[in-house]
Amino acid sequence: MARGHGRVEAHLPLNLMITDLFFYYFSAATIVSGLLVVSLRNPVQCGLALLSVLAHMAGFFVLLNAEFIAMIQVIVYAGAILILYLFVIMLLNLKSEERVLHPRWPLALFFIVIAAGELAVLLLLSPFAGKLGLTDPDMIAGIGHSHAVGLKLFSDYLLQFEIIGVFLLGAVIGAIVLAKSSASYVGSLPGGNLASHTPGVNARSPSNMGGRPGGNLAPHAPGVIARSPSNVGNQPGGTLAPHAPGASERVSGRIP
Amino acid sequence: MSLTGYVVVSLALFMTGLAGVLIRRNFIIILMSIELMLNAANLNLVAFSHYLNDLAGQMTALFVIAIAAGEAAVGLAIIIVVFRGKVATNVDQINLLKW
Repeated sequence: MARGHGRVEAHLPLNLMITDLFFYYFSAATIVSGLLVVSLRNPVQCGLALLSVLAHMAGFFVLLNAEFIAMIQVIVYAGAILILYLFVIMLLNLKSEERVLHPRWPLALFFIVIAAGELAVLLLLSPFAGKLGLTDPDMIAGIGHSHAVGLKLFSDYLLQFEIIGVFLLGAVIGAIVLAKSSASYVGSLPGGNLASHTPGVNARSPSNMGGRPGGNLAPHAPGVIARSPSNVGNQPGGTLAPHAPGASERVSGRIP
Repeated sequence: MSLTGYVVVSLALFMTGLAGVLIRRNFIIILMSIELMLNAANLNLVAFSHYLNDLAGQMTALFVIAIAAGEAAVGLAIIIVVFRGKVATNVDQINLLKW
């Protein structure tokens, strides 16, 4: 509502105050939820915090008179992308881990704090003055925001619109190809070269492992990875049936 | 609210996402942090579009949302493939292309 004209808002100080209150609520909720996304241990909880971020971001867009973007934010982001994330988290059966942070995280955090401070100083010093664009806000208020966006999208931005369609087609084909015929890709991974030579074992490997995220692979030594307990657990599934329970018990124990 | 308030919120959100990309080990959390950064950029675009009376920023925000959808689909397909080969979603265990 705090548009630069001050024609409508001059009579409405109460209205301005309410929008300010909404702005403070949305900003507090967005920042806290963003911190929760980064800091929570359980990936499902991280996904739900991300949902909160996206929903409050849609509120920001409504405050900024961009109703169509807010709608797209709710439908596409919260409705499609976030559901995709939650599906994958539950498909891989990810649990919370003991060590969620990178070993050298204080160094990264130090540089991030410095960069954030510098950017904050820069933008508090900046006047943000600029030449106003050609879009008339009264025209948007008259015909509706979706109509105005549609007019702009299918006239000035038609080529970009077509390009984004081709991009999405490529993304869909790429995702299907990656997720479907993954047997040929698995052999090229250092941890999976034992399992990939026998397709039956390879097909069983996700169910054998039961989705324990990491912890049983030594990360920095490829030779160790090739003989790691995860592959030992895969082999009896195909040939050595009597030894399978003992081996799978060894897999289920978490190796630090 | 002035434009500076929106830009400050956007900065905080972007830096949170950047911190998530740098300090977390789980690949899926890193993808979520990238979504945070894209959302911060979207907030900036829409705020400037509102205060400068130009719809171009909102068009770009739409395209950013579409690209985020494609990025999420391909990234999650990649993590499924990697998880099938070796049961790891931590980025420091996925080091095939590193030398």
